[in-house]
Amino acid sequence: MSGYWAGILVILAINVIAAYSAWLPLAAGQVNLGTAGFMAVGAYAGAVLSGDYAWPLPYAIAAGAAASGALALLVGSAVLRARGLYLALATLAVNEVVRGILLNWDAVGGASGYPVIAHLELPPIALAALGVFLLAAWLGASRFGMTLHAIEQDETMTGLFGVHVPRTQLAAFAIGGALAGLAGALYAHHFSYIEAQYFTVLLSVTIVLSVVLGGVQTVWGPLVGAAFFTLLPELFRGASNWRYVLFAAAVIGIMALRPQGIVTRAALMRLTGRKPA
Amino acid sequence: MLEAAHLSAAYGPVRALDDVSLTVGQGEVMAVLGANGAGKSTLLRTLLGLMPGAGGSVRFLGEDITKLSAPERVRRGLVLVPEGRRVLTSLTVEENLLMGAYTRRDTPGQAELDAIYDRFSNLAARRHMKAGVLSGGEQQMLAIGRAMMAKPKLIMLDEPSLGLSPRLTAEVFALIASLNAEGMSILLVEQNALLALEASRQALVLELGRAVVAGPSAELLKDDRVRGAYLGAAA
Repeated sequence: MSGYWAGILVILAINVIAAYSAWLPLAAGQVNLGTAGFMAVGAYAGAVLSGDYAWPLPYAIAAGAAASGALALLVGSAVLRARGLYLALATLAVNEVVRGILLNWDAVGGASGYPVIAHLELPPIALAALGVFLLAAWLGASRFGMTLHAIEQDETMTGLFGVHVPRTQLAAFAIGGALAGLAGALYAHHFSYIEAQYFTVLLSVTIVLSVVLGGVQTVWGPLVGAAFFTLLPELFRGASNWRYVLFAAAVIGIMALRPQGIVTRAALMRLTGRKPA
Repeated sequence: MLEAAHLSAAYGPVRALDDVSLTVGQGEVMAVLGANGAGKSTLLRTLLGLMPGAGGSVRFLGEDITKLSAPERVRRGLVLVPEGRRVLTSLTVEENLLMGAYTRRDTPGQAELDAIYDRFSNLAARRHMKAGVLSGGEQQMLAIGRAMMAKPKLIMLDEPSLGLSPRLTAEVFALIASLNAEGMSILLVEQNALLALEASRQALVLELGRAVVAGPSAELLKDDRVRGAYLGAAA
């Protein structure tokens, strides 16, 4: 495999993990625009542990995911009281707070960034993405996944079934936060250098967009959305500076034709002739 | 089995329920009548614990449940079939039924689902379809089937005939009668006063949040005020 394609596949794998991190809360109707902030926490925590503290790589990466998951749990218990647009704004603020702290924290390099010594190649990153996909598929098919969809549709009614709605939403948000941290830690250890400026709100928005474009109703949506957002700009590379215009036009076209996302439950049922997982 | 005393509730400054008391006996059907805005749905919401700041007390199966949360009341067998059915349209029929059983500590078996499908053959054929494709009547049946999955002891039905054709309305009322014949206690809120009075033993008429008439349904059918206001007869 050429270095060029290996590089693209690494980005794809990381984007897939990030997409599932945003998908879990989205499935319960919550827009998390702080995904990049949680990625940053995972990236910095993982890099500091593998670098300054010389932890073995798997442990450092797992700890990065755990750190951002814990932060999501903490932040989630406060901001999940907010609904809809207000929740989106609150998570967006979280993203900026995290970025602002990292930008001014000299121990992790501040504005000049943080070099990462330990290095990861494609295979373990791809394996992690596969694992996240399987985890998401399992969660999606479980009672938990059904509950998320039910909450997304009718929170009051779902509460009446005896579902503890805030706790379920918090769980989705926290698992999503941990997955974002995993994506960030993997990113840090492949690109060997991280800086706070990479983890902007724009990245969070792009991740959420990729999930919405792929479709939030099934476990396949984030995968398709992430692939679309990663690969399509590459296909248009020949058009040089026009490629982002072409890409944006393609995004608008798809949203117009498939407002529920590329992969919907109904489409999967038609395709397989049975109930999708 | 359900005793509510001096219930009151308000939406902000607007009083929606004012000192309403009622008792539903074991295996009984009780009807609540009233015009739009009389407080019928608010009464059910209050009984289920969904009205913040509500006053009065509720006893269910001999226990004071006034302080319990709505899911906790559901777990004890007080189950609501809400106005407008509120089925989860993007979930399948079977998933809707499973959600109905969520509050139970045990997992419902296939036999239990089959019992629901036996009763509602239309649902059986559509079990893996999205609930959104069902007709209004089928959605009402699904909402009732879903409530039954919670193993209720008392079902509260809010306007089950809303938006249904006369034929489907008759089907829903036949279902209510058969559930009651099997021993289910039912609290029925209904705008179709004649059907509701015929289907029930006791009835309560709400006006502007207050109980204005209460008594055996057979007597209310002959009551001049009720006939004039709700049954379309000249007073």
